[in-house]
Amino acid sequence: MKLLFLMSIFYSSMLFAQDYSKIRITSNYALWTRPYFTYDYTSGSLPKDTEAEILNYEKKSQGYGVEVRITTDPNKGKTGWIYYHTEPDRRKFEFVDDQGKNYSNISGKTSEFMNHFKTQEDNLSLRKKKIAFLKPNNDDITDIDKVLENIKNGVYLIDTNKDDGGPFIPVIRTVQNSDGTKSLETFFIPRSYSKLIEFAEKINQSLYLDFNQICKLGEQGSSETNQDPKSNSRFTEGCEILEKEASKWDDNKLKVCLDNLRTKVGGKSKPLNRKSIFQKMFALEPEEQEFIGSVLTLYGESRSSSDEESLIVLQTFQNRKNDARKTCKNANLLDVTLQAWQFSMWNNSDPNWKKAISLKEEEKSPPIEISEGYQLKRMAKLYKKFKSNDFHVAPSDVKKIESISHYRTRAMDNRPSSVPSWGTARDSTATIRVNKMNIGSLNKNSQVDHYFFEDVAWKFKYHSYRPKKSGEGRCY
Amino acid sequence: MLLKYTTITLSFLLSLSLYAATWNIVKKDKSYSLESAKESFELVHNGEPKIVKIEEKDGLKIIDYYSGDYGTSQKVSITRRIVITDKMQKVADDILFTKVGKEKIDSKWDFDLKNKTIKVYDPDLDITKTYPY
Repeated sequence: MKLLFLMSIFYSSMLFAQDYSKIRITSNYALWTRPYFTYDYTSGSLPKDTEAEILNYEKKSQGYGVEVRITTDPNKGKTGWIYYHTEPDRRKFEFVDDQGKNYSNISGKTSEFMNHFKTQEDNLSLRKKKIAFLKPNNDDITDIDKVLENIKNGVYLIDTNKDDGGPFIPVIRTVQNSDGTKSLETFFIPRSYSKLIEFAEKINQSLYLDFNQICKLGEQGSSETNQDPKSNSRFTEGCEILEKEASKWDDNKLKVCLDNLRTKVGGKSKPLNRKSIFQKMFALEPEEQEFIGSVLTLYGESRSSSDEESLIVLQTFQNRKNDARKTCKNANLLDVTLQAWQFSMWNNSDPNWKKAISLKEEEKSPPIEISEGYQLKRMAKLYKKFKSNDFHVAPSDVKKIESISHYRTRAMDNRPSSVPSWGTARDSTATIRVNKMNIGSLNKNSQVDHYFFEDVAWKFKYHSYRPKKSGEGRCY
Repeated sequence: MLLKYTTITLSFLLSLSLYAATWNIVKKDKSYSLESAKESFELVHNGEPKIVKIEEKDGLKIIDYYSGDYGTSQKVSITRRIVITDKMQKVADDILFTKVGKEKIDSKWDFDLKNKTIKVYDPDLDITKTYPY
């Protein structure tokens, strides 16, 4: 009986031992921006003894990528990826559990190693579902609805400066210390887009009510101020920011705008109606059309590509718009991205347009990096980056990128008959250096997904669903 | 007799070559046009277009042309049709058929000779366009 008891203790301690929440760097190491561990993606160095919390795992061919948020100086708050190798000699960090116990003796046998990390992935997934894990002893912050209510009432504050768009949102609150003094504390809530949209709607509603109450109370209130504030804007709710200069766009507001636009064009309808969605997109405000057209097309075409490559995909949209405007003066980014058959993701039989538009798909996914919500936010941020010209192209490549009219996936090479006549690899642009990374055909690395082509002859036409405008008959 | 048949044959061949030479695709800068001695019509294309077939019907010139390969991850080959009246007016330029992989999607073309209209139904877009002539 005693033996059984001891065994159960031992067994449960083994289970517990497998649940790591942190890492500690054991010899100087690098941090990567993405789970591609090449020089191009390094974003800095991590000195020995740096500690970080674990955000995610990704299986790699010879180990596991671990996404972390640094919790110690000098890189505190920074997020990125590090690599844990199957070969023990090549490991640069150890795992640490909640009690501070470290683990560096994980088996180097591939099958045991992979099983071990599969368990870690499962544990992390469970942890993400339990907000209680983040602050187990405080009822106020164990319920996401309560937290959002407190944010709405101004008791807590979302820390937008520290928000990196990852799976958790940093929230600040005031806490009373044991000595009676007060201090600020940051805690994290899971990034649930469905909750946030619901929350944004509540805030808008409360602002609307406050505004109306103020107007009613005001003795000198003019008829103008009594108007529905929503009617003052030509934009879809949340999209007013698009009127500002791109560099001033707030990333979170941009995502709220995108979700409201997706809802407006039918992203919640079931089944999704492609014709109706296209028609509704063409009915949006011009800035909204460009935003939704670019971001959703980028998502469908390039979400698994690097930021650098995605920026050149965006450049291709822009070049097409410039070309189109030579004959059709009102053509915009939505017109060129939706032009029939040009960008494959919008083809009727392609699943990507549904993924891009459907909010239901997004809600089904967990708030992690592979989810629709996370990737759409990333695409929206890239659109902002592109619009505010926040990327660097090698001076000798500037003219080249402005001439790119076409691209296609490298995967088409697997079946030569599926390569378009204008798209043989040898005719593609060899060097396109964006932020020091070459995404041209000279880079044979599998991390580059597309070939880009300059000056392919093509003809723009408006989509048949776009309402006709006078003076542009030849463009339909 | 031999001379007569030779003359007829030569005339026939000459008329055929003249007919074939009536329409050509000409590249200008980055665009392609369908050109005759009298008129020029810009073509919808992606890459280099090619004439596939020319026929006449009720005084209309019907020219089918390969518009090009489209797509970024799936190749789609499109053949379009342009219709020109005897007064050299372009009345229609629309998809004839689309090949997506092995699947062929035919647009439905109806020539209403009585009411002088052409209706084109595009099954991909579920839309019918009517072109009067």
